[in-house]
Amino acid sequence: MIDSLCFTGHYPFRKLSIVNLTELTNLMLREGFQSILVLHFSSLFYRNPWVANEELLSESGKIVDEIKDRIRVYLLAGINPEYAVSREKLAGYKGAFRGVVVAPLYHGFKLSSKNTRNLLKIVSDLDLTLGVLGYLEDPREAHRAYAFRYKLTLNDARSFIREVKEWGYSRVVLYSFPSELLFQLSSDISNASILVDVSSNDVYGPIYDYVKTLVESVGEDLVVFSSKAPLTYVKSALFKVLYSEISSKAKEKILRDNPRRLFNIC
Amino acid sequence: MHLFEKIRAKGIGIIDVHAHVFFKDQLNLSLLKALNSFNVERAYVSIYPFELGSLNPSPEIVYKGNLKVLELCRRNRVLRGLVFLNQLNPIDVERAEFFIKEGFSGIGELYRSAKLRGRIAEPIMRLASEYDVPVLVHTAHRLYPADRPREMTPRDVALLARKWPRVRIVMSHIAGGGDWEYALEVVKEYGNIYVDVGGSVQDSGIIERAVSKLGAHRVLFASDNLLAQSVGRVESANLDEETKVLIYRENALKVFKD
Repeated sequence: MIDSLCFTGHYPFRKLSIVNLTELTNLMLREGFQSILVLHFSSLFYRNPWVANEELLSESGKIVDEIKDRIRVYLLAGINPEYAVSREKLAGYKGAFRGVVVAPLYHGFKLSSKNTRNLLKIVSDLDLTLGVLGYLEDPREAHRAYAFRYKLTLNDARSFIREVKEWGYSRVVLYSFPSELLFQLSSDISNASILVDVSSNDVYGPIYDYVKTLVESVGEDLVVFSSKAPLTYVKSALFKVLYSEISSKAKEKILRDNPRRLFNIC
Repeated sequence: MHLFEKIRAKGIGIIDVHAHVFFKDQLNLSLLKALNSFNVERAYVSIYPFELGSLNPSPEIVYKGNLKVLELCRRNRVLRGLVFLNQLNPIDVERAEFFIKEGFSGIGELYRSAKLRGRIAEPIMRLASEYDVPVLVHTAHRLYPADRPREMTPRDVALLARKWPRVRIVMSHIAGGGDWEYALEVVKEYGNIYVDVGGSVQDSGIIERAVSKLGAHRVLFASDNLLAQSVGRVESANLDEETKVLIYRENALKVFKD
């Protein structure tokens, strides 16, 4: 199994029991994962995310070989497209990061901005995966410190997806997007071959098989598993897939094949 | 093997104190299937509030909803009834007594027609006290954007518990979205408040924090119909199996006394 998004570091609004990469890898090993993609929390909150990315690189060097042999840890760089991003800078890290993640809500920029478009071109040139993160937590529990000056809107997201489609880049994933927005955009997402993850929290209502609905909306080739551990319980995310009324083949794709393709993992 | 599967091997199951049924039997079948997948031996169910067409439903539709629950409980031994009522309809409270006599195990989920205070709360809590049944109270723990009018907050639940110390109150879905840390702080000193850990939010630490703040005996397993997330929450919690069994079933047996 591959977890397409988990975190290390301190989350500013809640004490987590796991705050470093070694503890995280141990947890994910126990849960049966063979590969994980990791982002540093601070890259979402520092004004200059590169400081956090450097911390992540440094932390990854401390993972002992014994663990490295059992689980592969791939790093993701958090990036604010409006803050010191150049092709040269990213190229300098090539090999260190498997992909980059932008978080318009947390860094406060529009997905349809010129800088985001430029970033898309840079990551495709460098053959990196681009992740776009929606809400980390359920919006109803968001700390009042979040001003959310920028909000994810249908038009902004649609405009970004159109850009991805025109650029023809197939290694883009939407993480933890509000489910309502995902379903409104499902045909655009399918047409652009963008992937989506299963980690959205905001699911309510009667017997609701979120993963099945997602698969029916965008297709089983475009859904990936991510847990957002240690912010969330791993099994809560995992059971949503394992106990979903989708085929075993679809579950394999979500948990292994699709993330493998997305992150170019052998 | 997960704990809920180990429990199955012992011939017992987990107890879900907060789930909902529907007028449409297709949805009820989906619920029963999900309950079976996760080895739920018993689920306390009330009619899904949004089936009633309004946050302030008429006595007729409330009665119809409770009759549907009664019918389903008679057909499926895994289901136990909770009597729904609109706090603003006096006749609903009178009819609730009928359903309790018919074997319903508690009152709830009391929803958003009015806050449970003063004269609105009195007949309901008196009924619960007289028949010694728990009351499941819908509670919002939200911070963003703001509390909604007529919706119970943890502080309202605390006030209710102080006024009615002999009534067992189940504060619903602390994992239902909102500031669960605040919710736990507010209710921790009221021993007659139990928390159900149902809902869609998968934040790590909810179960452990509930146990450390309230004590393991006041934490009840619930799904609010989201079985995968809710079972996953307990399975992932960093607690010993004995504590998890309390949450999964033993506490509910004591709170519902049936």
